[in-house]
Parts: sequence; C-alpha cells; structure tokens
Amino acid sequence: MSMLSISNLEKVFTKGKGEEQLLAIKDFNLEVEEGQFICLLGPSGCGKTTLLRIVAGLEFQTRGTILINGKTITGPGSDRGMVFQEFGLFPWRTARKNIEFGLELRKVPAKERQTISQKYIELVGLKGFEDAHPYELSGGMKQRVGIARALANDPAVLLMDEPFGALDAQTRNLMQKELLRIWKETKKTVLFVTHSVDEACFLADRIVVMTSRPGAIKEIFPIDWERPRDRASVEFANLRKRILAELEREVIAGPTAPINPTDKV
Amino acid sequence: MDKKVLTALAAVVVVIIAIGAVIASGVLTTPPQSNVIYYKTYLPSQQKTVIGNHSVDGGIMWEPFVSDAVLSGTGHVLVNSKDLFPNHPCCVIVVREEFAVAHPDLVNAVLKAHIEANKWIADAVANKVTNPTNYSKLLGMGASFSGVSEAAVAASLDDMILDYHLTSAFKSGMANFTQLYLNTTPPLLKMSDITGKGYSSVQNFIDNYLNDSYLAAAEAVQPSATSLGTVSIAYLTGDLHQFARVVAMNTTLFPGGKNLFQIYGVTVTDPQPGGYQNGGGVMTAITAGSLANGPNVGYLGCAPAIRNYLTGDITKLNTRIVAAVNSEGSALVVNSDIHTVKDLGGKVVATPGVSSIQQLMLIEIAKQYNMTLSSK
Amino acid sequence: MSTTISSRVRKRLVFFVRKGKFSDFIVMALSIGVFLALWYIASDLLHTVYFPNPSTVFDALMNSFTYSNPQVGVLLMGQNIAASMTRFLEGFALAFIVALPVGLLMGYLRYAYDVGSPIVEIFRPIPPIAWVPFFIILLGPLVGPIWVIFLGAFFPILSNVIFGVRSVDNTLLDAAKTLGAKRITIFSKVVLPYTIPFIMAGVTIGVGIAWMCIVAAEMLGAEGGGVGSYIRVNSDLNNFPAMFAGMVVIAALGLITLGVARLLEKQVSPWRGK
Repeated sequence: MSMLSISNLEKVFTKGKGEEQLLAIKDFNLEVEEGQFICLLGPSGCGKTTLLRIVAGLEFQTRGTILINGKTITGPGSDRGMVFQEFGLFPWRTARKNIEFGLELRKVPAKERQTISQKYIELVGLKGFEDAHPYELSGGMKQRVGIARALANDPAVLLMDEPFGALDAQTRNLMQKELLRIWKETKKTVLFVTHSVDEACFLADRIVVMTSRPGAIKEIFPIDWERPRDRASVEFANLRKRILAELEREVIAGPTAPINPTDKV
Repeated sequence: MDKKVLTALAAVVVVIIAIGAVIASGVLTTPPQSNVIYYKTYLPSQQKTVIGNHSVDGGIMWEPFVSDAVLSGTGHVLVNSKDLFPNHPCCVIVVREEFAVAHPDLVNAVLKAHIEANKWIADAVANKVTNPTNYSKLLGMGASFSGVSEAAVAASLDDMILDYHLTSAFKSGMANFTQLYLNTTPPLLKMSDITGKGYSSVQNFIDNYLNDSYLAAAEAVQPSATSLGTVSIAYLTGDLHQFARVVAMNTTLFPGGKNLFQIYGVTVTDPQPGGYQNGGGVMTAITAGSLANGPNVGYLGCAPAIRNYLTGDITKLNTRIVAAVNSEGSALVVNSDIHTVKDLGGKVVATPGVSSIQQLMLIEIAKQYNMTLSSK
Repeated sequence: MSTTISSRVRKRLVFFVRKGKFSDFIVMALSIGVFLALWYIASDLLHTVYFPNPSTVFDALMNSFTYSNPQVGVLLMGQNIAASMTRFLEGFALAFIVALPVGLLMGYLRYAYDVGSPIVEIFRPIPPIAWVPFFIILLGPLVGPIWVIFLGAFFPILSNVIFGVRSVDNTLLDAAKTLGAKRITIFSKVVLPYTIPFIMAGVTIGVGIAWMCIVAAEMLGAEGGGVGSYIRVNSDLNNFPAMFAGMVVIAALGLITLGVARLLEKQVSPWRGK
C-alpha cells in the first residue's frame, strides 16, 4: 500500500450564498510511495496549490479521500509538514525558536527540543544563525528555517508550496541542491508544487502535470535518472521540451467557465 | 521569546496599577484637616444641586441662588455678606477706557438705561401692593433669567441693595477690598501692582479707577429715535445683582416693543449667551475682545474688576468703573449639619471661582476664625 | 592640540546622545535655541504681561515648586505633577486593561466584532474632551477626569489591537496549523505576539491623547490639583508666567511618558518594522 493515496478528489469553491460555484479540482487520483519526491506542475490557477492545501488539511475537499499510511485526514496535523513560498516564519521568534514551534505545541521537554532543533539546524546548514531573527536572514536562509521547522515535527510527508519561488536564480539553484541533500538524509516523502519545469525536472522522481481548471492529472512523467542531474544534458532538455509542450497546450485551452449550480450532481 | 514578551507586558500592567494605586492613596485622598475649609469651583446656579447631593457641604453664592437654596430647604445661611462687610459694594459696571473715550454717547446711553431700569425696579418694589402688575412682571423676569422660583426672586430682592450711585460708602468699600487683597497671606495683590500702574496709594487708585463723570452725564440723556450704535455687554450667569440689565433688556415693559437700551439708541449684543462664571471671566472676555467688536462693557463684581485691572496689561485691559450695580447680596449657605464656621473645618464649600467677591469673602471668613482656606 | 580636545569633547557628546549622530545633536540644540530666541523676540515685541519671555517663565517654573497659595487654588508644582501623573496612570491603566481583551476578542472572533464595532463606531468620533462635563458632574472632580483619560486612551488602543489581530498574516496562521496548533494555541502563540507591536503603537498614540484629555479635564474641575488646574487657576489670577510654567511642565511630562512608551515599544518588539 502506498503511503499517500489521493482518490477521486474533487474541490468546488462556493462564493457568496452558493450562487457562484467554481470547480477547481476534478477526478484527481494519485498514489505516492514512501520516500518519493513528487513535483506537481501545471498552469497557474490549475489547483495545484489547492491540492497541496487540502493534503495539508488547510482546505477541505468536496469529494474524495486522502489517506496517509491508510489513515483518512480530517484536518491539519503534525504528520504533514508544510513549507510556504512566503516562508511563514514567526518574526518574533529566533531561527531556533521557529524550528521548535511544533515541538513546543506537542509539549516536548525543553532539553529534547534543544537536541532536536540542533539536529535540524545542522542538517539545513543554519549553524551560527540559530539566534537570528527572521528579519536578519536572507531569503535562502529563511527558507532553510522553514524547511527545518517543518522537518522538526518528523512528518510523514513534506508539503512544499513553491518554496523557492521568492528566491533569486542563484539561490534557487543552490537551495534545490540543498533540498535534495536534505531529502536524501531524511528520506521524507515530498509533495512539491512548482511552476518551473526546470525545477521539476531537476528534483522529481515523478512529475505530475495537471490540466487547466478544473485541475486533473494530464500526464505523469517518471524520471529515474541519477542525481545530481545535469541540466545541460540532452535528455534533460528533451524532457523539458515535452513537458513544456504539454503545458502550453493546457494554457492555450484555458480554464473552463464556472459551473452552474444545476450542473451539481 | 513570546513568553518573555508576555511577561514584560504583564509586568508593565502590574507596575502601572501599582504606581497608580500607591500615588492615589497618597495624593488624592489626604485626610481632611479640621482647621482647613476646603473649596471647589461651581457655578452658583449649580451650587444648590451639589449641596443637595452632598458633593459639597455648603456654597458661597450670589442672589437669587442664596434665597433659592434656603427656600427649597437645601441649606441655611451661615454667613451673610452684609454681616461680614456691612453695606459692602458688590457688582459694578466696567467699561473699556478706550471705548468710553471714543464713544462717550454710547456709554452715557447705556448708563441712562441702567439708571432707568434701577428706577423701574425700585418703583415696582415700592408699589407692589398698589400696582402688583409691574412687581409680578419683575419676579417673572428674575425667575426666568436665573431659573429659580418667583418666591426666591422676591426673597432675594430683600437681601440686596440695587443702586447705581457711586457713593462715598461704595468707594470706601472698594478701597477696603483692595486692602484685603494686599493683606492676604500670601498676598493676592502687591503694592507694586498699584504703584506699577502709576497710583501712589490705594485711595489714589480708587479715586482714579472710578470715573463717575459718565454717570453724571447720563442723567441728562434723552430717548433717541435714531440708533447710536451697538454695545456688547458681558454679565454673570443668573446673577440678579445685575437685575437692572435684565430689566433694561426686556422688550415688553415699554411701549413700542423696544427695550430700555434701544429707547436710548443702543443695540445691545450678548458676547456669551448665558453669561460668565465669575468676574474674572468677564474681565478676560473684555481683554480678549476688541474695541470694534467688544465686549466693551461688563457687569461684574468690583473685587475681580480691581484685581484683574491691577494685574493685567493696561494696553489690553485699560478699564474704568463707571457705575455701581448693587451692594450686599451674597451668602455662605450650608447644609443642616453645620451650625458655626468652625463646623466647616475639613468640609468642602463651593465658590464661583478664585476671581470673585465670594472667594474674597471666603478668605476673610477663614481668616476671622483663624482657619485656612484650601482648594480641594 | 585643539583638534584632540574637540574630538574628545565630541566623543563624549556622542556617547551622551548615544545612538544619535553628533550633527543631529547640534541641529537639535540649534533648533531649540532658535525657538527660544524667537520666543524672546516675540515676547519683547508684543510687550504684554500676557506673553512673558522664557526667562520669566523659567523663574516662575522654579518658583512653582516652592510657592503655594491654596486659598486661591495654587498648589505646589510637585503636588500638581503627582496629581496629574496619578490620574494619567490610573486612567491609562484602566484603558489598557479594558481595551486589550476587548480588542483581542473583537479582532479574533467575528461575532464579537459584529456586535462590538457598531457601538465602538458610535462612540469613537466623540472627542474625549466632550465627555468632561458629563464625567465631572456624574462622578465628581476626583474620579471624573480619570474616566476622561480612560476614554481618550481607550479607543486608540482598541482600534490598534483590533487592527493588529485582523491583520495577522494568513501564512503564519497556516504555518501554525500545519505545525499542529489548535485555535487556542494559535491565539496565544501567533495572534497575541503578532499583535504586540500594534498594542504598543496604540499605547503610544493613547499616551499623547491622554495628556490632552488630562489638561482639559483638570481645567474644568479636578480635585486635588493637577497641572491642568494649575494652568487654569493662574490664568484666572492673571499670573501668566506661572500659567506658561504649567504648560512647560505638561510638555515635559508628555515627552517623558511618550519616551517611556517608545522605549517599551522597542524593548518589547525589536523585530518590528524590519
């Protein structure tokens, strides 16, 4: 049995008093094995972030089920850690205290918290910055804190919502390498949302390309190349071309209009 | 970190409350001393209310509020001003000197209306049995001006002397008030205030500050069909010492629907409808006003007129007293628990303000009984 | 030789004004100097007792700490400062204690906001000074002014707290949720710390308004003295240098309390505005 199982997922957003409905995700099915790195790729507005937020428990699906290790999810929980594009760090807490936030909530004793946070500080390369506040850190460093904070809870799945979207190109490439290193060391299952084909090709075991709204799986590209991958290689370029072509078709097709309430079954 | 922040916040709150409580217990609640009469400032029109609800134990006020407080059963008279200072001068008419020089005709006409109003009142009171119409009109005017019963107005007419003459007794009474200001400890007037204005002595000051030439000229003023001009006249809130002004403003007493001022060619305006709280307020209004727009004439107690003139700026407040308004007519009214001035030790008395004849009386009462006066 | 001395003096001055630059300090001193000079000149030109010059006011200020005349309501400046400060602290503490929980509640719970905000919106535009006669007649001159200060400080604190709570970054709330926070822990560990700079901003604004209220309230009637009543009484007595001295004291007290509030603001939320 796979560790993360999404079946028949559907999400309808309702605006106002139900007059206007928007079908965001439709017939989404995905099985993820433990330790896999999945990238969700799709045109903007296709519902990939919504999907991630549903898995995180921050939003609720209209239909369908999500199982983690066979358990249905009903809301946010420490079995899923999330990393945000805008970092979402608590500005009044130091890097270390940010990382310990989840542990505090679980009432982990201070000494143990210290040990765990130290471990993740070293893992993500934050040594020397433990006592810095977020405003004293660069974007890349902030996201290291974000990753460490999510990992400190030892979640089964790491959900990443365009985590490097706010970083400059160099930092972004560096952070991708760092993420792979961290992933190898922690062996976490990762669900990674991005709109960068290059990033997906560089990181993923499988790339899930989604259709325009309503978001459904258009095609899944498995990649079994060795890491670190060479961005300049021919196969890298070919794969990128194929995915880009798929995406372009979706962008041109565009999203379907809002559905009428009468369409609701 | 957030625990530290919360602790800091809690500490701040606790410290604020603690400091507040400590200072509060120390400063605002000093125990009353038995040898001190305390006072608070209230309009005389409010004093009956605050005596009634025990915010204060008594009040020193002008008529008709004395009679009103007594007749309503709120309190009784402990000291009447005529017992403290027999035949003492009280309210006067003050004019801006510059205005009197520029418009003597207007000042004369105003004083003529004042004289005629006084005569009308005297006549109404003297003939109240034979001609009750005017008397009842008088009581009605007083009651509506001061917001008291007609009975209180009638009683107040017996408690004060309404007379416009600047008699020698009036003048010596004013010299006496000036001397009292000089004699308070610490003094509220210094001899240098008098000499600084160019007067050699108290008597010399009174002789010059009072100018009865306008009053003398006013006697001969005749009604004027044409308008001479406009005068803005300041007065005290609900003070029936200044009954003459109330009568002179009434448009229903004389034929033609004109008030007395209008009969003598003067249009009177009101710089502050409802009047001023104390004599100091009237003097400040004249100081702050202009020659063009006034107020250039004020009805107020002679004591604040004297003190404010002597301590003020002669270029802004060069005034003269041109007529008397009344003598006597103030009293210290207290609740039923108080029988002697000594009983007032540690108690609170309401006054119209530090710049008033009533305050000066309170200072004198405390002095005579070897007590001290202090603001609460 | 002379340069070393001046540089030493300079260093000492720089130390004295701490973080401020030396040039800032010079500019500040110059600006105050120019202000005093203008005051002197204006007072000299107008040449009236109603507008005393700075040195007369300074003398009156020094004198105010030793001269009193309670029979006309002139108390020692020390007593007046203590009385005003007490009112300020009591009114302010009251405002803080009430506004903080009410603001947090109204900011965090939609229902509380819907119920409370119409009432707040009705009362907010009424200047606190307009309440002075009401409070003084209803509660007397001892307690009345405290409630005026309460009202003056209450609304800025309340509005800032509500605004702070409602402006909490959604990503922070999401982050806390995914890390396992429930509604109560989100409130205590995210919303509250996030709101603290807003609370302090409200406190700083409230301090300024509270001083305005205090003077207005004490002028109309305050038991036990107060700097406002000192100003009022001395104006009634035509003692204008003393009146100005009272105004200088109010300025100083306002600056000191504002300084303390700003210092506190920095201490409590050093991460703010970064």
